[in-house]
Amino acid sequence: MTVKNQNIFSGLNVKSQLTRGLFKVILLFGLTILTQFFLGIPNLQAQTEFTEVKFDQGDLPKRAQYFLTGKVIHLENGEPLSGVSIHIDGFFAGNNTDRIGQYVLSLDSGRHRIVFRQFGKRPVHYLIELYGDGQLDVGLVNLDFELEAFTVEADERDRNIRSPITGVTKMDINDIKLVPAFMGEPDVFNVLQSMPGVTSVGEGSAGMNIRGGQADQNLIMMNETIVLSNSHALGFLSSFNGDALQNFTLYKGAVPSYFGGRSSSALNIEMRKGSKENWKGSVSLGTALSKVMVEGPIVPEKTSMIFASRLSNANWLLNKANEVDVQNSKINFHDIYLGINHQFTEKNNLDFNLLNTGDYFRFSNQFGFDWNNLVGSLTSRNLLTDDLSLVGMVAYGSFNNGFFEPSVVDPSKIENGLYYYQGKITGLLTLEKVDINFGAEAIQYQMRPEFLSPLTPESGIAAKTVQKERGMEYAPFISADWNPNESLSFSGGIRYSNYVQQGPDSIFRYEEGVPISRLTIVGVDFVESGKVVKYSGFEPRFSFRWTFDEVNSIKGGYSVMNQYLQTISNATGPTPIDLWQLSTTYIKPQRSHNASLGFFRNFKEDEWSTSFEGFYRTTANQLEYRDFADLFLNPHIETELIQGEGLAYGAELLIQKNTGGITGWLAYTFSRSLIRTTSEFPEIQVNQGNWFATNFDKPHNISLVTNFHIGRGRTLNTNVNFSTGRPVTGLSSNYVVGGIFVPNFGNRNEFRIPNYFRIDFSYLTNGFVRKWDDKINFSVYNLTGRRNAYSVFFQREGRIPRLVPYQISILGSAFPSFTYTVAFGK
Amino acid sequence: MIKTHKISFRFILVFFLYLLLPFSCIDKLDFVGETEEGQLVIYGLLTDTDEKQVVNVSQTTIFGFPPKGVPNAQVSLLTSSGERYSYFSIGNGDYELNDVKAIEGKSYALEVVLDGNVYLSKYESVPKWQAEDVLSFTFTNEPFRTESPESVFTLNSETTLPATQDPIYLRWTVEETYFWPLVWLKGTGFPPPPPPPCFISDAIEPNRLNLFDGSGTSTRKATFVMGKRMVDNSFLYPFFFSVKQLSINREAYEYWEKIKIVINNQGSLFDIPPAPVFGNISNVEDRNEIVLGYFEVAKTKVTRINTTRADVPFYLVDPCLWSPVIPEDSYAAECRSCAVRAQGRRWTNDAPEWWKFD
Repeated sequence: MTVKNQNIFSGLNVKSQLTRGLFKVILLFGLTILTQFFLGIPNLQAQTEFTEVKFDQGDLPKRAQYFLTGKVIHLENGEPLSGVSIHIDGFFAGNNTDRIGQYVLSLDSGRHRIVFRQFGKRPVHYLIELYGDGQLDVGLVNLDFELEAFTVEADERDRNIRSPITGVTKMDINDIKLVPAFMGEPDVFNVLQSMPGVTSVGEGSAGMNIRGGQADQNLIMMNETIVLSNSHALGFLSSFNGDALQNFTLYKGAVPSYFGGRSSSALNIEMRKGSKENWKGSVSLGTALSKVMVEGPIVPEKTSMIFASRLSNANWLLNKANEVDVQNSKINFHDIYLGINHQFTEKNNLDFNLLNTGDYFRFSNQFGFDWNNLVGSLTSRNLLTDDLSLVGMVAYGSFNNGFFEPSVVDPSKIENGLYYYQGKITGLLTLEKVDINFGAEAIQYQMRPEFLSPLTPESGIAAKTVQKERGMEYAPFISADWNPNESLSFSGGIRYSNYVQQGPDSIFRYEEGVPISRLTIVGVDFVESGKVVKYSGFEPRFSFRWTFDEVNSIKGGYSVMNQYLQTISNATGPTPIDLWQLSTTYIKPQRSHNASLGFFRNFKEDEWSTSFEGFYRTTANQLEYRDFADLFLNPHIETELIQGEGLAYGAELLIQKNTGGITGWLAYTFSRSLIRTTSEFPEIQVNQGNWFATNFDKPHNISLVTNFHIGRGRTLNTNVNFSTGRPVTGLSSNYVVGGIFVPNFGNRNEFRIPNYFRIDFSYLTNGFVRKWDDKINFSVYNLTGRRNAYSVFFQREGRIPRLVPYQISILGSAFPSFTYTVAFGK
Repeated sequence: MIKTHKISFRFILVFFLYLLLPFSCIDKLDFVGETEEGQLVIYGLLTDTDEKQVVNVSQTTIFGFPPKGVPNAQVSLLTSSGERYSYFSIGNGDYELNDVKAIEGKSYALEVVLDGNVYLSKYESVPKWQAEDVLSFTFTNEPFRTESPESVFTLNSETTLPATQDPIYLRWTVEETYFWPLVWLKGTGFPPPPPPPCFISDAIEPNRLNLFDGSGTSTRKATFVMGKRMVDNSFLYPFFFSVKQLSINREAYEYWEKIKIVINNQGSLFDIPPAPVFGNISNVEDRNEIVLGYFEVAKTKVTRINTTRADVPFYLVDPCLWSPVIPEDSYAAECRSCAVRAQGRRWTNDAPEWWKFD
């Protein structure tokens, strides 16, 4: 809903706001912590005790890998426990106990930290010295009868100390559910935006800005398959259904060499495999969203499936808005996920994943868009020998995009999009102290022709088509993780990235010595087929970890990444309908250098974990649009763009409380994101070629996520967000032409809108029916109803001969939602 | 069980303390921005009609104030055949040129000399084609400035484009002129002559830009909304609407399209980010000097329509109706003074030459 406020526009009065905001957030966090001490909320979480177990092979020949097997039972009644997750050295790789509680693991010889976890059970920690095959039987006890405290993290709490790569954020669905979100829906992007280093342009902007990078500089994948359009409802919600989601891993520091194609970060979202033992599912009805999930064995013990779907029902909320335009608007979205897993043998299995997402949005009778995204993949995982595994993946993605203007005269629609084929093969060779990843990846992109067509039979719009490019990106890669001892770990790799733009394409020739523009075209060359232009480059990746005692470590990393596919947009922020654009003769690929260094320390037996990280990135050939860029149906889009240098740097502080009656985290990020255009022609330089802030440059970001565990499955959760207002282009003066008052805008992104502040709240509890497995989620987004500014504009007020600044808020009020979920099956 | 309840209560207490703290976070802030003064703004329109050709020269002022007129410039119209015509200043930065009109086949440029600097526009020619406008109006009850229904007057134009493949670009300006009789106060002695009536003129919607790009469409007849306004007591008497159609060049159309983007920017997600708009005028010796405004040459046609009280379906009160029982000093000032009634709009006591009304 759109709300206009008058005269609340800030220039650079950020410092005092920040000081006050920072003070309040620190005060809040302090209050939370003090409360625990003074009100005596019991922190009954036991200290993490690792039971040490050693398995020896005796005199038999030594092997690189050994089997660890066993059975997990319920300690109180001796019943076997199925679906217990087994975490190895801080990571969950999908190992679960089977229907009779048994498990089999194939592990490298050496020391491993093994944790057995199940929701509602106390986790059990083992430190295993595996120098021979071993059997480890485990008993778990319930949590709910013993304490009000709870452990929310899925991975080991010392993972931040032990994991070898800096700048990695990993979280599973149980943690995600505890962060209040828009529409009450557990959401990856929402959680990520409360973590350090992750922001967005504002409410209603699709995409995230990670460590000062643009939204299109993030590689977003589902089970390693590229997903291009990945959010719903103008970016309020991601396309990944929490019911089918296993976990996510965000690489914002050093990205491993087996990921590439984007210049800032990589986010891989792992979807869940269906249960191989029994059928189960859930149905949720919500005020804004309804969903269904079913999973179970198609062939018991062999083939399983999971199906999850969501459908919006938010239109009635729009009808409640005060503004006529909003009442006449419409928003629909859906997503469907299907996952099928087949296990041929214990060493060979095959996964099929299919994701279909789509949105329809119409704002009154002014404009609208619809898009549809289909991603399908087939992944084969094979253990060839005890030391060598091979993963092969082929995928197809298709993205269709439509932007329509249902105006009275000549209503029209523009359609574009792309489809792509992705193939990847990855080998993992495990030696005694070194793990080697190697493989290759290739992606063939084909942009769809861009169509302009009349929206109605009465429209006089002449149909028009503009052909678009095609290109192939391919890269062999290799990386090695070397752990010389417990304290040191190194990870290094290299990726040789290549891109070829292929014909057919029309390459325009421009007049020499002047900026390229529509008016300086002197000719055109047509390439029927074959290579149009080729780019390539090595991408070294390196990271290290030095743990100098049990609770302190230092990690650092450096990576180089190239990007050949980017979005171009001249809207205020990223939108779902931004044009995807391949590199061409004139649009050079982006190339970034990323460096990061961090210090990590845990306290009180990992009850508290803290980190302090710094980052620095430069990007060559970052895209910026020229003023009033005409992007649609433009066969020579390079005339509307200008490339430049990007610079991002900052520091992140994270204080996380992992256990106890109150859990959560406080994240503070200082981040700058700047750009300067580097044309040789002063007349097209933006801001005279000086450095200026990108439109998502928000230097100070603070978020505080707090989970109050009341017991019996009930939690009260809050999410407090503060950030500096984003840059906007402001007025330098106003003038009159032909009787019309015209605002005269100054340098791009010279001013800032007021600071952003928001509190979200959610209450999760069990449902009304004792015999059902039902749950209730009541949440309120923007609890205080603060009218956070999204942007500003200037307009003449009636006949007054001057312009008045207004601010616009996307969500100008509290947004409550209620979801009731019933699960069936066990 | 009891213990759990106690703990829950404490949690809730903490929780609400925690929430109440930041409620005072919303602050009202003042706009503090650096503004730039003194940028030159030149706007000129040359038409193919016999009307006075006008140019305005001004300088930008501090944000929030109207621009400052520059009355001491030397303004000339140059033709492609080497002729030069001088405009004369009428004050407040306005310059006029009589007895000159644009002729098809010729191109024209504007030259402004100010403080030794010469500013020259590109040469522009008169477009060949023009469309036909047929005006109509409606009175409706609909949300206009607020969300509740209001009495609204809408002026429409059914426009027919010429049957040609040549591109045509149109811009319309709309002016309203209404008749306002002052109250005739007869006094106690010999009655004075009745006061002359007021003819008050203004743009119907000052910041509305009506544009149409006829180059990429087969549409040859369409109805456009030219303007809207609230219905008030101005409609008590004859009310004229003059629609001036300007057939302009592609570059001029693109200029106005950018102006439209800038003035219609609502800060929404999909708005094109604002930027300074540059026209076709520059300093001949210093190309880096920013000169705002535009010089356009247009083929022009004016169409008019008028309403009378009989057309208005709403009840209107005449505040200036003379009555012998009303004391003379009780009439509102707008009943005794055209200037007060006009509230800054243009006004005159003489009926325009096209005012053909009984």
